[in-house]
Amino acid sequence: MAAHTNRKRLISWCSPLLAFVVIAASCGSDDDDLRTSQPAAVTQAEAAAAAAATGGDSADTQAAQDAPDAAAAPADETDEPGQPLVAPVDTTTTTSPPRDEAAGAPAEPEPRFGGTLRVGVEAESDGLNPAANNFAVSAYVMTYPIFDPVAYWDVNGRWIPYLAESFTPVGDGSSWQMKLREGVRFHDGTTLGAEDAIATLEAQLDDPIIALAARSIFAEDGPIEQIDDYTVQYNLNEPNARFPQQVTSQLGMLLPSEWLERALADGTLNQMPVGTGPFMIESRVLDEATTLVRNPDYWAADMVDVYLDRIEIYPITDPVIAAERVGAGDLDLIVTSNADAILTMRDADGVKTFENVRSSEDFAMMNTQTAPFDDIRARRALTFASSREAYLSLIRQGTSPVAETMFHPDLIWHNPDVRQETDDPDSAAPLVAEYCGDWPENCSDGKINIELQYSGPSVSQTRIAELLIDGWEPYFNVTEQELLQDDHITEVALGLFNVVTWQQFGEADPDNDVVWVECRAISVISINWPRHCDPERDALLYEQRASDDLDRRVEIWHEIQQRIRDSYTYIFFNHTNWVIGAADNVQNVCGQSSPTGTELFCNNQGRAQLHRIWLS
Amino acid sequence: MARFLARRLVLLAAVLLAVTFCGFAAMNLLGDPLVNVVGVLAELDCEAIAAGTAQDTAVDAAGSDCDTVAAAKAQYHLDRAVPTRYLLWLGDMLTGDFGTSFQNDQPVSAVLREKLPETLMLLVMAQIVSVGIAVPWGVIAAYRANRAFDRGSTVASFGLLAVPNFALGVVLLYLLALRWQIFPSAYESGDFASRVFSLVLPAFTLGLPLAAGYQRLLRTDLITTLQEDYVHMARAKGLPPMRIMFRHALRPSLFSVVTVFGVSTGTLIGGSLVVEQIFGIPGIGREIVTAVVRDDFPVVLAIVMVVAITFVVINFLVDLLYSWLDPRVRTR
Amino acid sequence: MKHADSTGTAADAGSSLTGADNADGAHNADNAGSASAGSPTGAGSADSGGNADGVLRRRLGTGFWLAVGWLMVMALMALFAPLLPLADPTQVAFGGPREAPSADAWFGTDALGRNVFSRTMHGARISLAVGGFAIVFGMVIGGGLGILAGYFRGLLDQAVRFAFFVLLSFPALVLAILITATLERSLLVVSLTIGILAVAPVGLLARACTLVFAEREFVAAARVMGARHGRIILRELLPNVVIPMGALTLLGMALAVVAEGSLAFLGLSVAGEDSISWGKMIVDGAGLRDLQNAAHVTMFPVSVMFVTVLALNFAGDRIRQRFDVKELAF
Repeated sequence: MAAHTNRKRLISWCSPLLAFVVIAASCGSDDDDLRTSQPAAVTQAEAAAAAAATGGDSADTQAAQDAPDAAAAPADETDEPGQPLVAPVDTTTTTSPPRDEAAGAPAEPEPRFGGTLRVGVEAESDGLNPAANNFAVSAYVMTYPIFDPVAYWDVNGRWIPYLAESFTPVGDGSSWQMKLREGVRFHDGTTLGAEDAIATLEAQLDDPIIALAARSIFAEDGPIEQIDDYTVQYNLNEPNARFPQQVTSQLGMLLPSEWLERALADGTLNQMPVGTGPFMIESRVLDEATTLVRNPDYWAADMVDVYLDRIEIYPITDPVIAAERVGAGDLDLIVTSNADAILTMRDADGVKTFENVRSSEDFAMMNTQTAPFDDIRARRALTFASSREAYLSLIRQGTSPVAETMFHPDLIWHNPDVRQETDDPDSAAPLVAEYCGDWPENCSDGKINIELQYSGPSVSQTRIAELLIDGWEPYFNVTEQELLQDDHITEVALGLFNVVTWQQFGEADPDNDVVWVECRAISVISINWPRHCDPERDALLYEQRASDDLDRRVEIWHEIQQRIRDSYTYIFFNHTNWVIGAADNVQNVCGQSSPTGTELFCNNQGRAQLHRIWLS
Repeated sequence: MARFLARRLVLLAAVLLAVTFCGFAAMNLLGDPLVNVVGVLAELDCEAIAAGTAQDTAVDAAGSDCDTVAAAKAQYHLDRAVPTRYLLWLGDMLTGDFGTSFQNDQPVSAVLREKLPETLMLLVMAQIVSVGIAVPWGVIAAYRANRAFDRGSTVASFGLLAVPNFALGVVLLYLLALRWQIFPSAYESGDFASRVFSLVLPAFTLGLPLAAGYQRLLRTDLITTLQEDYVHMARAKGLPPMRIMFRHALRPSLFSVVTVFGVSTGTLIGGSLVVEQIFGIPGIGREIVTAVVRDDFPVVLAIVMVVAITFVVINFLVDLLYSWLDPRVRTR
Repeated sequence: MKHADSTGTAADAGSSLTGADNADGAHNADNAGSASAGSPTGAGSADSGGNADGVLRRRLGTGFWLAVGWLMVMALMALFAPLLPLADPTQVAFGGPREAPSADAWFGTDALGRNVFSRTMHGARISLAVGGFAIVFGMVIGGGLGILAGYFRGLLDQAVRFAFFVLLSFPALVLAILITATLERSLLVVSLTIGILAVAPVGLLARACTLVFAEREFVAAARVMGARHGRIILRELLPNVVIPMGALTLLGMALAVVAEGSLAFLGLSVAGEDSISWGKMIVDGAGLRDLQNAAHVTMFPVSVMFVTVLALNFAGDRIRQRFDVKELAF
């Protein structure tokens, strides 16, 4: 059974990666909306100011990012100094009249203390130990209240120190020092110190699956060293101008060193992790419920109000059922990207949705190391034959906008010249004929033989497969393979696939997505899933990683998008619409701020922050 | 009676052995048992790896995949001959060791303990629903045999029996949960009352066709009983018809319902696989379907064994009960 | 069930065969009951309260022919679906998504805009093919074993009966899942799986009938005249035993169709994109939002399947009464 343990762990790790990938999509509402509703216009300047004020040592790096970029940003924001790297989340208050949330904070009713927030998540997490379990969206919803990550994203998509007091680059940025706050206590009463940061990272690098992502960032020799009781130095693989944004996720969640030791010996502790956050885990029954209670000894209690007494989290695998329950008042908040669930909540009375279509993307990807997709002609033919229009209208049902690249048009990174060559089946014919002439063994009846793998059993995944196959059929003989999600991700990681549908990209800063496309992520187990290596693209990726120059970074990402398109490894369909749906009485879902008063990025790939919610 | 009982017990033991062997054979003879247990790792050439001529794919720093394969071989006694393997496996099972689920590394016995109660509750509720409906229905139909109500009820029961479980479930879900919103559309964990309430619709899905079956059986039997001499006598004595029905006719007629109780339990178990899926009930039915998709063979096998053994034992008990109620059977 | 050995067994066989839908307990109790107080399925027939003679002489009735007509239509649709001028059942966006029934799409369209009518007709192919194949398999294997057991008696009989008993010890769907769990889910495997479910009930019936006929004069006469076993079985027993078995064909097929539907509903039936089946269609349209906004996507295949199973049950029941299985059992 250990084999299965391996498989399972790989899997669980991959799913979190998936989660990573998936940030958010914008809402089905249109761009006009986005531009006019701009809550960010109000808040971004303050936020930038706050970030500058609290950022301490990071201020210098941020200043560089603040360089205006007229070309790519939405019109009304172009000359703002604190130009957001991410577009703001839309609040669609569906049936209730337009509410104040949409416009920031002013006229909200008085915050109320107390109450229990009931949250639905789409999947149970194997465990909640950030050094042993890989986190997907659901796990983040459960763990962000338990852990304060050392850094987090502000509302403009820039990193800010969170649990850490400050981050300082050393030299060219290939090392960074992190100074922790003094006097912070874990839920078990122990005091946070440098040794905890070291023990946590070491445990993460020891975990075969978490390490897949972590090794891409941290140097192999001496990834972390202690400077003093509260300061550690991270040593990186290459210069990084924005390292702290890599520790905004589970890599930035710190555990007490001695608890980690015990957890290594006793796997059951992974269910009841100990953090520094505003909530502590009270009880957890797998597949049933996880209950968090307020931490009476919260380190930031003087700086922020924590309103809720308890948070109860229920795994509900059918998103439409979860959405119905929010409408019926049986749940207070859910996170989903399922079109039917989104539509259900938009239709429901007393439910508001916070939609973000500007982060991750839904796409198909091909394995470039095995036949037939090791040949670019086959990849291009499949792209031509894909019916993206049908996908958008029938699968996404208008909830998510079309994607031409990995960036939403509202984002400064977006390259407007890049287009996907989908919905053009006639152009596939000559390519397929040519390919089959060269490789008759991979074809029958003049069509290329391929296998479409997807996760199931799931009605919606089956539908997607049937839709895609209907478009591909004239040029491809498609066999289907339906695998359980875990096995599906494992096989993809091992390169045992032709073509799959996937959801990925969309980190608040694209540098965090480098891990999916760089050459060094390719090995026996690869998180560069299509196994496509482009050394020149790698050079660009690392150049922008080191760069402080926003214009140059934008330029580089434009070129990377073009290169990715030209390699025909991904067929982008749409920008995922990540939606936080909440009952009308749930306040402060977006617009929460850090202990030092910076407004936080809301709905980062569906990762909802529950810390400062209150119920009216 | 003792002789009869002894013969029945021997038969029971033989059937149980055969049933367990069937399950065992499905795992060991239909397909490669090692693949069933460790999946793709079965393809590893562990001898070559031990000899250093091939590489292990181990993902886990803690151990090698070949250790895993070896552990699985030991757990399922795969290095033994098939008959020995069967006996060892049977021994493991008798001591409550059903192996370990691939899915979450939990012992299968723990999975069973967690999932069985929901299914049992559903089955019990379904039986209550069906008997609760069938008895009055059958009594009225028999009392008014061949009148309009009886005709109508015959048509209705014929129709009910023709609806597949899953179709009935979807229709009830649509009407009662979505259209009229009387019952919840999915299982709700929580306190006992809310669990029972959310099982009402699933119980009706399972119980209605069963009620139709019981009703037809009961009606036929009642009509027969009502023609017995002692009933005529009672009638002649001027007893009220309802009293005759419940006091004199119903009780003997219930025997026939008892006889099909065993068979109907099997139907219910089969139906619960589907119904648990529709209503999202976390019982063994859903568990086995997930386990099949995951190739989580220890769980599949354990559930099949538990279900089959329960089914055999129930039928055995029904058989005993029936022979006790009707001594003529024993002479067979 | 209160009668002699053979009767009891025949009743058991019947009850297991239809046992999956519980109908049979009733039929067989009725058959076995000496008083024959009337047919439980007497819908629409004038003399449903009549005695055994009445049952025997009763014509099949319009209901029967309606049922047979429906089944013929479905069978023809299934056979010739690819040749008929039906829309391509896998064609996405034949119409808009979840459109209500119209002249173009009689049953409306599903979430992918596919033609539900065309899919339902194509869906009949797998449902009926599996149903038909399964019951034929059950007849051949179960019937063969049952006749041999009933004729030769002795040890063979004991062994066969025991095997049937063991098969019946698994709830039907659970046994099917055990088999489909280990094998690739092709049309053949699914049909065989469901066929195996039919073996024991059909076999027990065949055995019971054989026991009865083996005592009859014409068999005794053949034996006296020195006919070999093979000849007696094929010439004397088989033609007689086939009649009651055949009478149960349609009932068995109804069960097989439902069993296939259940497997499909669980996602464990025939795999592959072209394998449209009723069960799959029903589960595809059974999501909460689909049900709320486009119930027709599920309700049309549900109705067609229901009417088909009803027709199989009804016609099967009529045939069973016509060739009265009960009479043979005595």
